Amino acid sequence: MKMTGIRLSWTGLLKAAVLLAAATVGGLAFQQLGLASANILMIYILCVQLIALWSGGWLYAALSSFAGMILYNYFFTEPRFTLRVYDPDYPMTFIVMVAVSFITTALTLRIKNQAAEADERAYRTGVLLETSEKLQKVERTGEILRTAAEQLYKLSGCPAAVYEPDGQGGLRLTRIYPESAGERAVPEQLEDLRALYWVWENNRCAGRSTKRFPEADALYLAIGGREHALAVIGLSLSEKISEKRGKGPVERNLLLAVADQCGLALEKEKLNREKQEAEVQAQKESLRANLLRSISHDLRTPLTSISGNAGILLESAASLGEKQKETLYKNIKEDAGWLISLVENLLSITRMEEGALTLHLETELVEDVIQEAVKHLDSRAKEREISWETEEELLLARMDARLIVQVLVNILNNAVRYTPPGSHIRLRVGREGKRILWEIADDGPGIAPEDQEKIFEIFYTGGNVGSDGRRGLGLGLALCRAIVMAHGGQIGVRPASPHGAVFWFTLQSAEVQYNG
Amino acid sequence: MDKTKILVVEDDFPIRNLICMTLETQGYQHLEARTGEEAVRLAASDKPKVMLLDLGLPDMDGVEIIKRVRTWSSMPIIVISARSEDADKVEALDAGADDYLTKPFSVEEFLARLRVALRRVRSLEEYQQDENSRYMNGALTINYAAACVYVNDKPVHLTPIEYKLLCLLARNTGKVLTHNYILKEIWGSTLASDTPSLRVFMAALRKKIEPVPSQPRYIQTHIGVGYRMMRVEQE
Repeated sequence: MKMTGIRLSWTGLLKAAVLLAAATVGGLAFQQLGLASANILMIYILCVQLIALWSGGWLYAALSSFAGMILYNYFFTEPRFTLRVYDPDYPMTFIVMVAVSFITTALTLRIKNQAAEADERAYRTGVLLETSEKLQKVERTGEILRTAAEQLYKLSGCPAAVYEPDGQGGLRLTRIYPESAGERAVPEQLEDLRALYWVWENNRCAGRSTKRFPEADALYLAIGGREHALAVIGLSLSEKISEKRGKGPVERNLLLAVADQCGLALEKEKLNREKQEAEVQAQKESLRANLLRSISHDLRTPLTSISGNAGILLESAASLGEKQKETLYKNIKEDAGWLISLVENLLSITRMEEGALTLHLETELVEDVIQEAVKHLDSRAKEREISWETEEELLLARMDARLIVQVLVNILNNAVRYTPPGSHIRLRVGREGKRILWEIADDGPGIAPEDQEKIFEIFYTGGNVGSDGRRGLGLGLALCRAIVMAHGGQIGVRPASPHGAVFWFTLQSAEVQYNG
Repeated sequence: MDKTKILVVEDDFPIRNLICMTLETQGYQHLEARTGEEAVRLAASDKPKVMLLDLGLPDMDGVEIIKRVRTWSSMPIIVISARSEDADKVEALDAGADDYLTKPFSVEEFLARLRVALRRVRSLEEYQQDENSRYMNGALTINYAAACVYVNDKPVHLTPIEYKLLCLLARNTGKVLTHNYILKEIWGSTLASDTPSLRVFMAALRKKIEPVPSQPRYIQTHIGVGYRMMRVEQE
């Protein structure tokens, strides 16, 4: 049986008096109508119920029971209008009446309380459900904590303050809900700080209404996973509120339940983030592993060749003819040249993958860039017919010259490497709308249709062996694509007729004011 | 034979060895320095004709060495730099270097650059002896007094800016002039937006004085660095 304080107020007594008076009047009316006295008793019992319900106090009900009995005695038992009774049965009637009043009142009150409790419970379950739904929709830490604060405020009626780690081992206040609470939500005393940090370190709750730091102004809840707290929310309990709601264990369990839900959401989000970072890391590692594998495998060949040739020249120079010696020298030089361009590509590509390559865009003359590129071609380029032209004079484009030179060198060297001697390689640059289109066409054997997309992939060589009998690392075109795309352009290849391939890419064009 | 003295400043032994051996085969005399201090000392005491300076020295910044030497000498300085550092080259040239080599470089390239530098030494010496009011380079002739330019004895009409550009390059034949330097000398400022204009002016100038504009013989373009007027051998 729930008691609600032992208070008597004038309003309560007035309510009781009014009801009793009404009951008496009703009883008198019944009597006039000639109804049995049992009915009048019922009226008083009913009246006591109503008093209990209306005033909500057991004490009123108890007092009213007695009052009712006295009134009935006075008004309705012989001799009327006195407190004496003739009928010897009436004392028993009175006792039974009072008992019935008490018991029914108690039951009524109980039902009333239970109904209130059920409402309260329903409300809290609703809040929990709502919390769960809201948490499913939000994703970021900030939003999760905001939802937590909101729901805890709804549950407890106390303003919530959110404390998050400041990255240096301490906590800082990041949010107050509701925002109108302002200063009230942030307690200042030492006891509160102690409670706050205790909660943070131990991942349990503390503060007012708990056994730890009960002198604090606020109740501190740890928001976090199973391992450690990720944030702390403090609920500022003011005197008035705590009495009204009563921070008993049941209450606190519900607050903890909400806090747990939010803690799980936070943890999930943190794990997701870590997973993504781990994936990116893994990709980088796998690229690095690929590179190392390719390097150690594919660089060994030219290095073996250089080492071997130099060795022969050292050991057996005397027994070699001039022609032979010259061949060996030439081979050494060519292998070294191959290695040099390979290393250059490797460096560029690792820098691009790590995002460390910064583009220095300048407006450059297309002609200048072509001329620079042509200077860096393989020696074998002499055995091909290479020509170039620009559609108009003074063609300008925005580019990082060094990188685009590398693109041209890679594509041209590819053309040289994968075409037979005497082939024609033509470089044409022209304007296409707002872009500059570069085309390198050769009349060699061309590229198989199934390879056309894949050749720009890193490490893809398509099993092709160049005219120098050596496969590349598959980096050249991948690097070209990375560079062109970093410039905001596009790159591709299409077949030439009757045979051959046309590699093309686009860059932004540029204009310049020319005042002679 | 006139043993021209070349100062080689390089801390990496194999490369220093390579350079010195190459110089010997060409009949040059060489001085070696491994550090910046040694280099400045030798430059002052032995008076080489040309200095080869590696930019990755352990004790001193290459640019500082150049500045120190330039206070009392105008000997051509060729800097050697690793491939990816454009900024270093440009800084060195602005500080007073004449030319640059990028590692890895071939012996032919090295010797060619050396010859250009030596030709510059000669013309500097000649210039001091005889104040020319005329510039002659292959088929190109500039008459400073009359402000006229001839290619193959045919007069060529240049705009004022083109003329100033040509004269600047001609006065520094054999020396790589950075974009910044040219912009400062001709326009007096180095706004980044002017560099594209410079390219356009250069292209226009080339078209007027080069016999085959797509294969320039006089004005060389150094991508990302600047331009140079080359001395052309008389046919």
